[in-house]
Amino acid sequence: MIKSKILEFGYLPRVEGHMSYTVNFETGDVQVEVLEGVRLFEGFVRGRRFDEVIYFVSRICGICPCSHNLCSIKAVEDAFEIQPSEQTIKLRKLISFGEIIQSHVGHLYFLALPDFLGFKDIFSALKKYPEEVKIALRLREVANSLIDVVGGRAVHPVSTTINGFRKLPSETQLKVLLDKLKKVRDDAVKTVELFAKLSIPDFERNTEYAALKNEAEYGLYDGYVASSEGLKVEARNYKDTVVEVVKPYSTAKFSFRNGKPFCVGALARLNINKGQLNDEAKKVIDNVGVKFPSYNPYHYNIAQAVEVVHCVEESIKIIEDLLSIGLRDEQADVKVKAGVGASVVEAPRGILYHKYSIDEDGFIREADILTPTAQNVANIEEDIRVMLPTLLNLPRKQAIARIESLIRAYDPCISCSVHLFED
Amino acid sequence: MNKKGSLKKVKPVIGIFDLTDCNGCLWAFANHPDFLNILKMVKVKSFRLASEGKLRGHYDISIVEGYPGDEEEVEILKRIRENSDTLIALGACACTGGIQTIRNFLKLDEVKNYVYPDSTSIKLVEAKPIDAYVKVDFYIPGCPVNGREVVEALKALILGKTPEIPNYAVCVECKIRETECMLVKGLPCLGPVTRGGCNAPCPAAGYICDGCRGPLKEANFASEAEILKQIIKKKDLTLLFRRYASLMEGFRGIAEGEV
Repeated sequence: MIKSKILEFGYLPRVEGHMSYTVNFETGDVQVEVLEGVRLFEGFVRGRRFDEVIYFVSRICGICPCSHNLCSIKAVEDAFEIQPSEQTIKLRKLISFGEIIQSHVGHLYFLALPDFLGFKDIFSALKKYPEEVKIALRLREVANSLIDVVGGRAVHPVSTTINGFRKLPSETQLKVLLDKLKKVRDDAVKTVELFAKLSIPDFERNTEYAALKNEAEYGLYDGYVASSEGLKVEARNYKDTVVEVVKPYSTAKFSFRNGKPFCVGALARLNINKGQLNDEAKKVIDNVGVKFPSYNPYHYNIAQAVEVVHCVEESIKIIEDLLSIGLRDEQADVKVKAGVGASVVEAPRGILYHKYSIDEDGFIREADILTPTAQNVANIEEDIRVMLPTLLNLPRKQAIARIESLIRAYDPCISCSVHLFED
Repeated sequence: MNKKGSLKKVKPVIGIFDLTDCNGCLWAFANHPDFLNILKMVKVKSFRLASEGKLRGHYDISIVEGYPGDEEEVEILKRIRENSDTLIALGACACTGGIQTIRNFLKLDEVKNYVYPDSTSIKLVEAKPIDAYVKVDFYIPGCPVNGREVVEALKALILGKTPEIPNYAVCVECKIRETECMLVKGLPCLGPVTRGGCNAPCPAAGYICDGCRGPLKEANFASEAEILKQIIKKKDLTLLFRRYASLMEGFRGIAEGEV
């Protein structure tokens, strides 16, 4: 059955990467099938030097390449015991926020929205919803500019490096970005309003929500890992708290904590760290009247939209800060030494973890990567399982629509998910 | 001519397919400001990432991103080819095999068992570009592609012209941008032997060109290797050519250690 799906290219549309699902309405069996081909990144980065591996790993995903690049860089810095400068961190945050904005907006409008508006794709929606499409394009253009200017290229950045940046943006470039960001503040707010108005199923399932926590700010770039069930672990040890299980129907392994599925990503972040959002993001949540913590996975989309508002505002603050202090050319000193390093960033879809064992010449000996979607697949499957009884009385087409829009709400990044650590 | 005085034209039917890849090339295409505009000019029949994916019937133009990661994908690729008049290979994975060609130099079984020690169902093939299996009509190289090149290629095909991808080195684009030459700075840059068309963003951002668009035809690879040997060790030189396009003529010899 899977074979014919593949040969007809019958994977689930409008998610990144190849996946499918099987649901048996009689028995209640649910299988979330990740069918993406495996490329074996952790295998082939071994024997390659740290300063090229940080760019190789961005190729794990074309939608969240910066997250892999930055997490990789931080893991190497952890191994070399390097603490990058404030300026470097601010610039990296701009890239991280830019990526969250472009990824979330791309997902929300191109991948998720068509379901809710009754269209099969954004192209069909163009005629009836031209304003919405323009909003998406404006937000994405600004976000991609941000990554392009600071990171050197929007997909697969090149100016980021260990302990610094190969090239700094100019003051003029930052001013242009600042202006553009201010102009899309409204678009970001409108995105939340749009998604808050959509009619979504009234389904809830409380699970464990895990996210980066940072005492000083809404955790996205750095912090320790916390959860709604009291987890508190240093980033470098996060992997020890997760168990992965192979399923015969999936090239991605399924993750469990304490024997149960758990959830990462925008919904988890909002559920745990809502209090640390900036004022603009908090205001928009109040205005649309959505309550977090929420245990409704369809609220994932609104959570992403709220984060777009947050990231636009945070980017504005960072650029204003950099313009007032001025950018300085910094000597990026890197002392290579043997060691093990690991780190975590919040990729758009959730906790991303990279760990490397590096030898004295800087070559990678071991690599471990745990991606957000690999952590979410078990949770998605459980959600569908629990939701199934409520779908039995619906017309088949509607039941399928509910299941598929639930999967899409998680914004799965399947290419990422087949990159998992060894046991 | 119809009544309104314009040429009536039937929109070409296109399919956009992704094999095994990171979707970065399709995303880079989607990032381009003319993405929606150009797709309005065609009838998109299959586009799994943004619409519906099923392979059905005939396509005037098919765009394939990614490389075939296993035997089933080789079969899909062949079906796409059978049903398409024009086939475009999109991005490094499709054009030159991509980043995973690195694993071709390792023992595949050992690499697979490192990542999936408890799985017997994963069957892989060597990472190769799609023209190892089917005839390709046009190549849009790069990791990722330059979104503009995809738009221009489609524009050309819609107008019945041949898409043009530059046949000059990346160096030309550094000169146009007035980027300081990486080789002159003593860094190991592959610009002189790499196909241009990307607008050289990497040197502009302070990084070397690492050949993601694959070899430039008839470039002087031997001379480049000589220059690079003065900058980096032989081992690093070999590895430098083992990134996105190690199977391609010109890069292959150096990647296999013939320096």
